[in-house]
Amino acid sequence: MRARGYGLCDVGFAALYAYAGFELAPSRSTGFVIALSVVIGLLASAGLVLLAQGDGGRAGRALGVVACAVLLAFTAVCLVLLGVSSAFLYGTYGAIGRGLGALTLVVAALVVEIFGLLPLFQLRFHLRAREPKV
Amino acid sequence: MIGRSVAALVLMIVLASGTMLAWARMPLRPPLTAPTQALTYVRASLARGDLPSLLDEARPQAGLPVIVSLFDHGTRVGRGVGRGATFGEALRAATEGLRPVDAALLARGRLKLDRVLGEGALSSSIAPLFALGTVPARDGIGAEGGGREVYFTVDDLLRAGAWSAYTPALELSLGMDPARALRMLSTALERRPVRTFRFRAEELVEATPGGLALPVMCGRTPGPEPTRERLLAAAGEGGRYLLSHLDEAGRFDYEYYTIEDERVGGQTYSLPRHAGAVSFLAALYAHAHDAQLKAGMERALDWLVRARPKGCDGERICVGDPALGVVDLGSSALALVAAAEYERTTSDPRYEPFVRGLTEFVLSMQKADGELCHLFDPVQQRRDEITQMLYYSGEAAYGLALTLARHPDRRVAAALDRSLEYLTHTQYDHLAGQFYLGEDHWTCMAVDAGWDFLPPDHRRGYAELCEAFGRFVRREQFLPGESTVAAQPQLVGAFGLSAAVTPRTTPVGSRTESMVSVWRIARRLHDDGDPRVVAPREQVLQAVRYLLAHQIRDDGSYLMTSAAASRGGFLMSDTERHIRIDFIQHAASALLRSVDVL
Repeated sequence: MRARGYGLCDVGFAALYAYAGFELAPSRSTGFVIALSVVIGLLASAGLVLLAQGDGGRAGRALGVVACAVLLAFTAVCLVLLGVSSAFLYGTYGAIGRGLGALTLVVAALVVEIFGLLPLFQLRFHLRAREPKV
Repeated sequence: MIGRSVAALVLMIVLASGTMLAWARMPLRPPLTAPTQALTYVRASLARGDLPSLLDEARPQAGLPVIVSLFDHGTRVGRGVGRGATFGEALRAATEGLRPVDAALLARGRLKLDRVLGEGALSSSIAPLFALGTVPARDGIGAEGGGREVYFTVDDLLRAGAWSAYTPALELSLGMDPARALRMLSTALERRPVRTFRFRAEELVEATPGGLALPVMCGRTPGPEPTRERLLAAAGEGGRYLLSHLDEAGRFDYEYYTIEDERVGGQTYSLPRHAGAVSFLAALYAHAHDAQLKAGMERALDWLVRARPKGCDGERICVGDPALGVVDLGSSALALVAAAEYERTTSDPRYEPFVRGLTEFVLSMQKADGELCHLFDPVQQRRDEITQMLYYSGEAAYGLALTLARHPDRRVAAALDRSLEYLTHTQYDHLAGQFYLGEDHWTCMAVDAGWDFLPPDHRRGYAELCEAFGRFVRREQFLPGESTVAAQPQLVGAFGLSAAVTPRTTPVGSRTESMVSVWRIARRLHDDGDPRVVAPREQVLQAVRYLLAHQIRDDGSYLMTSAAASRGGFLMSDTERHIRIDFIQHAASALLRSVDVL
């Protein structure tokens, strides 16, 4: 039951990322678009397999672990680069950049919530589920 | 238990939202079939002439008022409010309420009709709800108390400067100032209101005294559809406005307040805006070889030439306020734009030393990475390497690009290329920078103007940034077919994120100036049918409709104290009714540049 719940979350978040990343706030960076597409593809696949297999499915769990690990790595890289952006804007543009820099940090906080929490909880679930029951 | 709690919560949300929706909605009655007849009828009745037939005589008015006003030089000199079961009854009652009218006043005044189509709730006890409870420049307000009702039409509120006056946060002005509006209502009622409300009216005004009645929205009559001739004529009117506000010394009336009929030079006179206004006049000269125009821009350019603090002479010329210790790049950059544009359109070499000196100054402000320093201490001859301001780098790049057309120089071309490399790539070369674009309108104008002097292998990269800028800006434009626009048609063509904030004219102008460049750049690289060419063109067309509708013409100037002094100008917004020289610079320049797009 919990696996299907995570499956549903994966599909929903994959759709959310696609809307946010390709429609609401598209990036001009080809590298970012490719990375986001990979994350979305993996997450949606993991979600669909988890939905189909439920708690006992090994493929779903394996795919879920990979998708979450990739999503976590993506989040970490984004946070580092957003920190760099904030520093660049603050350092380069002085008073003007201060506002932009602060805004970038707000975005970084949103990235933690929107991208970071789901894989953290889900990884914990998948990895615990793999431990043998005593 | 959890299921019931969730169901109860959902029910509460639905009930609360439904109640608020029912409270806030304002159902409107249909408009008149032959609205223009109404003002003919009123004027004939006031002049005791033969009354024409009234096609809408029997149209139900359901007790909602009809308001007839007489305007003379922007001031309301008479008003009648009438009610009745039918429109005919209400109109006659309003006309009677307007009597007696002095015959001379009637002969030179313009009649205005406000037929109330519906009333809606307006909370006077919760300030933010009151402040944001009206659609700016579309809704009037009223109050009831002591057995009386008072109405303040959109015109009354615009003249009182009631909108764009609520400041819930620093620098953010929107909605209506609740204290001022409630004071107006209480004064008119001579007591504290028992109930306040908003209303929407069908509005008409005579184009001239006794002339054709035109529909009114946001204190304006409809603008013409764009054609090449109309765009040129409108740009010419903008130029005429600037020349009529230019003094003998070559300085403009920096601001003109249309309701107070007040010209403000001010201590805040902006040199970049002065230079920008001159650059528009120079561009206009290419289409209108007018001696008066040439003389005017020379006077304004001479004023700029004289605005040289100590240390700004010699091989490098900078422009600035002699009273200040530093000069900014923007003043010199736009002075360069103005003088280079003058040279281009007149072929008159009298400002060549000025152009060369300004060019040297801009070049001397460039750093190794292509970015420019924005402040300079002329006494110490020292650049400020840290402080950054908005727009200046793009303005400098545009100045260099325009200069190249008449003075081709490898050094200048290389500096322009380095500057554009910084503006289009280096400054966005980080993750957050891939999601937003700044005020790049000057950048894309520089790419367009300097295209032939840029290395061919760099052009496409600059063009891609400009295409992205076009897409970015397009997302902010209100376009026909959008639900926001269906409800608020006055927004079409403007740029903004929300209907709650009244759009300003200048961003429409500056973005359109740039979009013309984006369109030109796209045409160099793609076929005319390519979406990258079609999209900016459509964007420009919507924006010029907006600008044409917002230029002050005599038929729409019934709220202006002096129609002659306002003619050709652009207000800051529908609700902020003053004109500044840069509003003309950007809006009229956008109209002029758009001639090629049509």
